[in-house]
Amino acid sequence: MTIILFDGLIYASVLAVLCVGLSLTYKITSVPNFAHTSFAILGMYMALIMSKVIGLSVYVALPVAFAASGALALFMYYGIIRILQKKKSSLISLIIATLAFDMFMIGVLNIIADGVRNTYRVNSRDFTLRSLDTVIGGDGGLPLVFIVTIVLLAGLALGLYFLLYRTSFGMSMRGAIENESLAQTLGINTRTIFCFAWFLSGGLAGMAGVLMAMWFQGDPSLAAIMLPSIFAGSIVGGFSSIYGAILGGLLVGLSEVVGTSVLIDLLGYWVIPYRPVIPFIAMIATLLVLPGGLIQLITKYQKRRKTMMRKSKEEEEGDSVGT
Amino acid sequence: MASRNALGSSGEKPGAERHGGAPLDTAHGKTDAPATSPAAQGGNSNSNRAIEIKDLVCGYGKNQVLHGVDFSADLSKITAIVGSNGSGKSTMLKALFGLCDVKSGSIHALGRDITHVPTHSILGYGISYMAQRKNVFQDLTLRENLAVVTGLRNAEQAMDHFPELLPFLDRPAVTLSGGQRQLLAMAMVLVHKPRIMLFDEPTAALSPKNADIIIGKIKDLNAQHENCIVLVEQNVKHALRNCDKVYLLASGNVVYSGDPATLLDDKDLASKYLGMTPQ
Amino acid sequence: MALSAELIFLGDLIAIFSIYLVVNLSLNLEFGFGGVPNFGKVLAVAAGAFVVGTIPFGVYGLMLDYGGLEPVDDNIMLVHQINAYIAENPETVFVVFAITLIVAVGVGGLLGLVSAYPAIRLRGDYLAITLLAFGEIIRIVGINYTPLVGGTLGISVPDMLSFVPNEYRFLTASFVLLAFAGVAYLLVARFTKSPVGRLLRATRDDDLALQTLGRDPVKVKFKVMMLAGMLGAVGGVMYASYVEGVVAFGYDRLNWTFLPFVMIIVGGMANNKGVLVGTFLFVVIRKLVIYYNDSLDGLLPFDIIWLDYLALGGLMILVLIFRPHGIIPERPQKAKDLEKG
Ligand SMILES: Nc1ncnc2c1ncn2[C@@H]1O[C@H](COP(=O)(O)OP(=O)(O)OP(=O)(O)O)[C@@H](O)[C@H]1O
Ligand SMILES: [Mg+2]
Repeated sequence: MTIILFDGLIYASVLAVLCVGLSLTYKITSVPNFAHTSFAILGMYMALIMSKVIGLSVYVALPVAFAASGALALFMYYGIIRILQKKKSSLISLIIATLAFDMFMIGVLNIIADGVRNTYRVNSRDFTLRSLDTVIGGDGGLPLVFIVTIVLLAGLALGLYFLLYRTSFGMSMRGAIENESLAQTLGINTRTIFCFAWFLSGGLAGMAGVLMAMWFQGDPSLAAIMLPSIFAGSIVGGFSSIYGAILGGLLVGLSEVVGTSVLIDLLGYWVIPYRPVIPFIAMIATLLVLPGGLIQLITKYQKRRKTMMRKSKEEEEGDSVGT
Repeated sequence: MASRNALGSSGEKPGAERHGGAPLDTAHGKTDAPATSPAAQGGNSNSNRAIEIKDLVCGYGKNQVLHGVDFSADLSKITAIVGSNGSGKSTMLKALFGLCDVKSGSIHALGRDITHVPTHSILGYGISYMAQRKNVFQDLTLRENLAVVTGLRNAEQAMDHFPELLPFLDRPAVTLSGGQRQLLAMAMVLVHKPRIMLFDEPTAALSPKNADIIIGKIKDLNAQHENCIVLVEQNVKHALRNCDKVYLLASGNVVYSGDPATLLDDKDLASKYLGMTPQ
Repeated sequence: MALSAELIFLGDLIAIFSIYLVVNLSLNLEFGFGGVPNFGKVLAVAAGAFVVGTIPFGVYGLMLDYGGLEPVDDNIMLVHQINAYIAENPETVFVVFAITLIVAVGVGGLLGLVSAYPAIRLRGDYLAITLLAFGEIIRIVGINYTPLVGGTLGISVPDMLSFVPNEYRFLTASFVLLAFAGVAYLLVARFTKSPVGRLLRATRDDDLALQTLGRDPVKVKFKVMMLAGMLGAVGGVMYASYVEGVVAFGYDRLNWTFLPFVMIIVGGMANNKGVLVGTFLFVVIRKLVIYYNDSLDGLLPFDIIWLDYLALGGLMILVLIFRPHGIIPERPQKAKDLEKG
């Protein structure tokens, strides 16, 4: 039971972190990035290289992966997406470009995996770094990676809130996302802001990859396997909402792990390989029934309350500019 | 016709100044108006020249909108641009701010070439621009809107001249009325105390009373600070009453420029482009 | 008599070219002409292949006694037995293949209709994501539901040409496939030149225009998606028959969605000749790379197959940036063409 709990919470949190990054870049560029999971896989290999090849603590890999995957995301944005956007490429061309970058990265990551194995004789496929982790309270205790994962997600949620709602940089960022040309006319260098956001998105994915490898497994094929789950998470949450992404990621992650274990009890072990179908169903159902995602439900409710409150207020104030 | 005095090559250092005018630090409201440029003083007959556009051809992608337009505006003056819908008024202002594709021609502001300066740096040249539509961030509160320009600490201060907005400080801008929104947009644009201000239909869709308030504010600005104001107006009477010089655009060409009174007297033009029945 | 290496190379080239041409024509139909970016192209192709993995076993089961052998569990033995039967009764092939093809076309058309549903309700990116998901689901089912096509191991299927003498068999297959591709090309060309086809292109990005011309955009989209699904399934039938087997793993995004997109974009979208050129170019390049790849093997510290991914992904990006309209750009449509429609 505790294993299911750890599995579920770690997986869901990692997924949520990935969803936040995906939604962030979607908000900024309006392109669903099909290469987003490859940032995470790069992080996984940073973890493998840091720990098994160089011999440092796996936790050193967190900042390293942040930097490496962040740089990769930045390259993707600056070297590909932005160029295509400048050329006024269609949305479909942009989507194809992200798919193409994903293909490219599959090649790169597999070459890294093969290279590490052949050069350092380290198992680089379906590897796990769980044994390297510290367990608090001895056997059967609390694995450190569990705490780190939860802290990362919570820190991310709070940090993003602080950044976006409590600093003028964050306000410029929200402004630039809503209306890029207005932001520019007000003197904001939107390019820098967007580059920062892409870097952040990639870096977070890299860290998620490290944590993934420390509890589950690391393998290049996970890029394709996890992609539907993070898209499902982001979409279930409402694709262009950061907090929706956290919500959706947690929900999809938990329902994958817990849902599968419930189904095993009900139907038997043959259901295990069908686990990837769960996010698909969640996603397609959301798109067809509630395209705005869960966050739409929440904001709709809030808005209705607010407008009702405002109406009663405005009746007192009157409605004019003049004083 | 208004003088078409070229800025002349006298005081200007083209290549050096193209991107050279280091954009001032705009993020914290410290921007001072740039010193009057050497070019504007450089022995030209008109030392008050704020904007000089020459033979501007621009548009959006393949769609060419302005076909070789000359335009100039002076400090301490209000220059109006009028013309029918789609004649290219907004495009002219956008060109100044690098928001459309300039194919040929040049744009100078306070003597410096800004033709190819990226949009976000233009504010640093002492120019501000209030767009016709979507000129505030809808999802942000008023305070946040201002903070984008001033930094968080000075946001409230920026409202000093707009006391009528104070009660709404923490409301999302999307909930403002049209007039309130225009005022907010103005407040944001004025933060940096620009020498040149471009207003694209600031009174559109406002009640006469609110329109008067806005125009009043603009005239105040002009009187107090010797700024150059360029006003695009749909309401011709309004515009002509308040400006010192007018440009009439038709299908991307300037068909008249000069004294507003003369334009009204020209029955031909007035009836053809302004829809005024000749008396 | 053994075939020379050159002949094998050529025969394989023709076969693969023909197969991809059919798949690409179908993608071009829905994407280039219909404006539906079907990122789940693999769905129809895999469906066609899966039909080949099941229907012939069923139909031959009616004709001869399997003696208790199961298509999946006793796959090799059963296929051997059926092949021997085919060699003696060549006439049965036409019936069985026709039934297989009809079923595949039916399933493909049905899946096309299923894909058309989101295509009508969703726009742009959401549609792309949904269709991509459709394509992944069929793979998951194919890999995990063993009774269908043998799960992870896959299955062999009867060789429909086992009646042809061995030395001709290989080239015969290539030319049969080429004939299929030729017919498909002519049919698609006819359709795209027809009034409906021209209308389609004219109104690709604008449902309103379609309505003003008196057509129901929903119906038109359903029709196009159905046709494309059918054709895609035919491509799957061709491929599975050619390689005489179905392995669900092989029906992945790279080979049957991404690659077709690369080929039609490089060739030139909404343009059947462009598809022809793009397909030919890519099949030749890929074949040559694989052909000479073997000499590189062992020199590099990694599996050379990954270079394929690097090259395809990289090339696609470069094409999108530097030659977005392909080798043969789409011909602008004249207004009078439309009026005729
Ligand atoms: N973003 C754009 N992309 C393409 N064409 C545009 C764009 N904006 C404007 N246009 C075209 O440029 C021409 C001039 O538009 P502009 O906005 O400058 O007109 P305007 O004089 O400001 O009109 P209005 O009085 O209605 O504001 C119009 O024909 C318009 O269709
Ligand atoms: Mg306008």
